[in-house]
Amino acid sequence: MSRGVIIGLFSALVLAQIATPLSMIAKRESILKEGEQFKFKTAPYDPYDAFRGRYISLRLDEDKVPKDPGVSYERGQKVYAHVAVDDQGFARLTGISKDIPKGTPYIIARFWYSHGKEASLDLPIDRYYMEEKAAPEAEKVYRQYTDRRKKNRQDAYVLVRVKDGRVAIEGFYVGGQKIEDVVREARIKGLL
Amino acid sequence: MNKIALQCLYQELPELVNKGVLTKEAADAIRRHYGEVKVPDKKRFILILCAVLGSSLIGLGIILLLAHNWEQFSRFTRAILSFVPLIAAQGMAFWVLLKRPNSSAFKEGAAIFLSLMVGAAISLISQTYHIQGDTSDFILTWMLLIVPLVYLMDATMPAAIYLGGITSWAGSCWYDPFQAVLYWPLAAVVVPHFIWSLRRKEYNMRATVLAFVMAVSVCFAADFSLGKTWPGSWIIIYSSIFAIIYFAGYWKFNNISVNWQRPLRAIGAIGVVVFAFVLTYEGSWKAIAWGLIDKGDKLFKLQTLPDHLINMIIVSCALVLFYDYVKRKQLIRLLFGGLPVLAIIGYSLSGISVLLPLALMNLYLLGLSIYLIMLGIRTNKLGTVNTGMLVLAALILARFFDSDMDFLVKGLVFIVLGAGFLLTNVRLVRQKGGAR
Repeated sequence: MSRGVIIGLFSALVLAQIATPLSMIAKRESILKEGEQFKFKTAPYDPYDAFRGRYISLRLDEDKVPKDPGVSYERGQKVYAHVAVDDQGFARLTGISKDIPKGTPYIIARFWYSHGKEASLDLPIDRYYMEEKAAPEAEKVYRQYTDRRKKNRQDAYVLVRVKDGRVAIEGFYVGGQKIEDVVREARIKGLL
Repeated sequence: MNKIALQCLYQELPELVNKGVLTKEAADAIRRHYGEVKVPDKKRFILILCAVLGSSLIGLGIILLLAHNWEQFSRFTRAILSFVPLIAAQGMAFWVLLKRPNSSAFKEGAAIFLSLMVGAAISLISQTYHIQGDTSDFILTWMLLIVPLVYLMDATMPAAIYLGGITSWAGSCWYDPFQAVLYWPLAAVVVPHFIWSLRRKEYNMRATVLAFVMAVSVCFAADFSLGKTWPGSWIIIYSSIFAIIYFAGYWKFNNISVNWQRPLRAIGAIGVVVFAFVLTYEGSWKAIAWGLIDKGDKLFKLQTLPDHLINMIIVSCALVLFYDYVKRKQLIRLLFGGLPVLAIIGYSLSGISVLLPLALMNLYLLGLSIYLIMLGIRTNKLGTVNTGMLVLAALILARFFDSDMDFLVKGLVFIVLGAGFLLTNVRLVRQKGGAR
């Protein structure tokens, strides 16, 4: 290869390397700006991902989705999970379909397995990144707040935006407050 | 001829001429016959090694800094920050291409750094936007964005990173082997670079490193992606892969004289023996349906076609190479590389009775070990004898532990084997001493 060709191809590669992360940003920003907002109740825990730093793993409180027993799905198949909001203002997944539902908000997910009338999905709401030290602290705070044995137990939920089935996470809330603020307050009070 | 031995010989030549043992013409003829000894340029090698290590450490350090996930920065700042190391690395690589196009150290260093920074940028953005943990997509995007560096910067380390990356990508597709099968065309992308590095006039580390990474990568990827649709095909596929790796170790490379520079031969031979050993166990033939996605009903679906096709290619390659050595009548190579043939025979016999392939594999290892011992004794090579004895001892011990014999007999077998080892070695060492 001549030097000119190499430089030309290298420039194209450089552009592709910049365009990929840029398009990731553009996609998420567009969902965050224009998407419809939902609150999902969660149940988090905290593993470690060597590649991507520390995060809280999110599991939706009601992660089983009702499914029509007559329809079968393959593992890993793309499905549309229907979203509805209950009278307390929390979002719930009310069903799945192979086609885009009309008139109902939906999230694109992957089918995992089913058990009778219920399906388990691989949802794009599965992690909330925090600062290295903050993630385990957040988990501690979360446990204190949401302990089922306590009378003043509070809800934890993840706030997301959804546009054309794509999801972007806006924040993670415990007792109505952003988790970062809760951790900061707990640090000041010496609770951690 | 071994480079070190040749260097010694050349050092001796003037004295031999002086003492009248050789004529000057004869000494010159020897020099002409063997040619110049190419001593590897140590300084250059150390420079490349430092560049590789240095840029890897800096790159990994930056990834760790970014992984801290600085909370005090806004989303926008973090997004911008994730581009800074990437653009810096690109600038550096660009400078190297323009100003140091002939320096391997600069090119390898800059290419590794850029490879790592592409991953860092994508992962920081995933972090900033809490993008879901689809590890397989993340790895594949990253790998596809760095693989052109192998050719554009003529660098081997990105190829090694790429092979590692696509292997773990294939592993992360475990729930869908029909997707994991794409590993093979993806891996083929770096093969021309590998062949090119083998054909270089001066021998360099890159071919060795790449050969090693390739062999290991292929062994793992085979497990992730192949043999999921045909019951028991893993038996033939793995035998073929190890045989191909072993045969590839014999291809004529430039100026390779030392064994460690031939990782393929060693990995292949060890793979063949260990795998044959696995096949001497009843469990492996009984578990013939192991790893199957779906028993039977997906066998002839269109999506299984790539799996079948790649299996066919691998098995045919192994058989063609085997046939090639049959023509050349090189028994030792045939013994190691013949495992796929035996695996196919064993596989076809396993339908009649599991005992048949078991007997076949036991006989194979027995024959191989005895041949190695005899060959070692004949050529006076301790290493070969001990390899043969090790295989034999492992085989005997394994069969003894299979059986219900009491400890007394088992203990005696241990002692006999140990004594056999010692006696043979003592005898050979004495023989060698005598020869000197």
